Amino acid sequence: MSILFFLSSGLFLGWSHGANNAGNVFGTAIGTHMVKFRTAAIVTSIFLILGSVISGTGAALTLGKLGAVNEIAGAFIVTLSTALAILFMTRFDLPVSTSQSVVGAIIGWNLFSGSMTDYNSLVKIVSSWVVTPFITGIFAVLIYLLVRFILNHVRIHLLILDFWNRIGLVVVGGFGAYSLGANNIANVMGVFVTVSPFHPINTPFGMLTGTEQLFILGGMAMASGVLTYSYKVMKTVGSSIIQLTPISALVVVFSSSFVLFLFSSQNLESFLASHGLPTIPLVPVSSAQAVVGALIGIGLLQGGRSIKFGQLGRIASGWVTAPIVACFICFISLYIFQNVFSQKVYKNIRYNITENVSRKLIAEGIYFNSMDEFINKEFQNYVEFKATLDRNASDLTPEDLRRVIELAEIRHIKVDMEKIKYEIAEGLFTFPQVVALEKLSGKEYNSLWEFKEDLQNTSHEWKLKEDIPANRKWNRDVSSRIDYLAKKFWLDQ
Amino acid sequence: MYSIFKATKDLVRKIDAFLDLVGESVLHFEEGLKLYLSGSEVEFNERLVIIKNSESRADELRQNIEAQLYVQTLIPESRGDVLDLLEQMDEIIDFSKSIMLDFCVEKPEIPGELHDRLRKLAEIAVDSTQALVQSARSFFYDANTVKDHLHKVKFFENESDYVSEKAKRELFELNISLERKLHIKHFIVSIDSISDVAEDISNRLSIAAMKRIV
Repeated sequence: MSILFFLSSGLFLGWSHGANNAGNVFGTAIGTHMVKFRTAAIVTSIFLILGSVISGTGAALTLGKLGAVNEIAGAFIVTLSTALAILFMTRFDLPVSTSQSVVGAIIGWNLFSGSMTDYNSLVKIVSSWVVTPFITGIFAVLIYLLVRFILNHVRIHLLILDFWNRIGLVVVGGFGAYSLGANNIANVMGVFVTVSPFHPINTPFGMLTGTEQLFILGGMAMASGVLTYSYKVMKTVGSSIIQLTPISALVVVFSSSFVLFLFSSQNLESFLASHGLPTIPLVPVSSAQAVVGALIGIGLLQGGRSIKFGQLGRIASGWVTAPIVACFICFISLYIFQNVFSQKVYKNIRYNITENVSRKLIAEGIYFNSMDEFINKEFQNYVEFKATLDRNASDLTPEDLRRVIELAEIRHIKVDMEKIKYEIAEGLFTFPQVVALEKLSGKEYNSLWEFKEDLQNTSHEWKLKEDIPANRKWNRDVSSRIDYLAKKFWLDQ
Repeated sequence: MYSIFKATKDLVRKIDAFLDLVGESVLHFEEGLKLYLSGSEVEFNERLVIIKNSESRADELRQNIEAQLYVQTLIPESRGDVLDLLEQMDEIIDFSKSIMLDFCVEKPEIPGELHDRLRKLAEIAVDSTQALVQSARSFFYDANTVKDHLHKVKFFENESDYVSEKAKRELFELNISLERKLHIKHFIVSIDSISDVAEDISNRLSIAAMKRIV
């Protein structure tokens, strides 16, 4: 099937994402009638596209959460299920988190394909439901008190205040839309980066890489969602939880954008670390929950009587429902797609503790009593391997168990420079990195770690540094590039 | 963006000009009444022309402000209150003009014993309206200080009631015909009503201000 067909689900997800999440940035402005829907939709659309292309491609090789899905048909279903789940929630006018829904759908794929589920991602989602509203609520209250203090001490005409309030709403909304595009484009289009049908083209403004073209398309899909279907969710966010004043509307969007920027910005972390400043711990925060948290904060400050708890309960239940619905739709769709349309929706990953793996494990100080019985014994999938390990290697700690599974994964990799010629032309790798890859050209590996180790032994430019805040950006960049290569060079069998 | 800011500044100027007109119109009314009582008919008529012009300018400004507030969907939360406020304050100008017109048309013969009372009543009407104009300005600039002026409006309304009662009592003790008494009473009640209208507006303004306080 054509890649363009598979791409359609990414565009659909972009559309649903735009339709649902635009409410988080402009909902309060629309709810208080401070900004017209048309203005909000146009500003959101422009900044979504800019965020997707400029900031999204900053981590051009980030595959997004869907990077784990190893067959394009599977990724198509995961993306489609997420889009359907978000559309379903949008029909009920409920704001939900796109990335949380993506994780829900991936869990559906993991269950179907018998792959490993990273339970940390589940913990992150659940903690985001609690942590985000809590932090944003506190910030909203503090900012609101500060604004109230300033306004009580400054003589400013009602109309001039109204003017600046509108400007503030549009600017902060635009900033929010930019972040929304930058943070989510990887979820919408990331999975198609490795199979992108687009090649670099020269424009009067410079070269447009294949990834940038893909992300522009994704950004446009998001924008079309905003323009065609975002009004109802905007109204829910803007006026269904508490009645907002124009000033509190601005406080809500500002505090939620501020919290997202402070607690989830990897760029801010790198900036602070590079200037020798203490970094702010990155915690899982989501814009859907941030806005609601800010609304609750303001509502509580006003005495709590104005909060419509019924509606709040509906929205919170939507947060829980969205990933579950995505997971459910994904599982069923994968079954249908595989059995009715005879499509391969996942690459079966086999596991084997080869002698190489056992040597590596022992070198890392990992050993379990029945390890010898596992040597050179192949397991057909993660579920089978994990179950056997659980039965026979109960002396392994959870971390060691994860490492054993990671190292035992069989992945046939062949370094083929032809497959990454466009990426090299686009300058996605440094010169020493390309030289190191060329040295390995034609080599084959049976596992990801062997490829990674060989690459890192060939050049320092592929090595990870000590895990301190100042090095995190480097480590993220290198890891995402290695993951990208591992996917590009992956041989089917 | 600059043009929007300019349009907003222009609207601020229009609202200020409208409030100025309200304040000026009661001053013209007071002056007109004094001229009428002193028998200067020509100058009284000049004042009537001025107040008529003020009324039409105020109407024009108000309609202009209303249109701009609606078309540009400005101050969505306070728009209703502001439009009500402007309309009610416009009534003060209309009311002042209509009393002047009544004086001009009906030419009531006011006995000399009541002249001071009527002058005082007009003075109080001016004071209550000026306090109202000040509180309306505060509503736009600093909602917290609205109440500082509103209590004055209440005070002047009580004063007006007191003076008008005195005037009515003195009127009905005079040895003049009943129809003349009733005719003059109509004018006392009308002048007293300016302070009543100001008080009505001030009550609504205090609620609007409470809504505005962040």
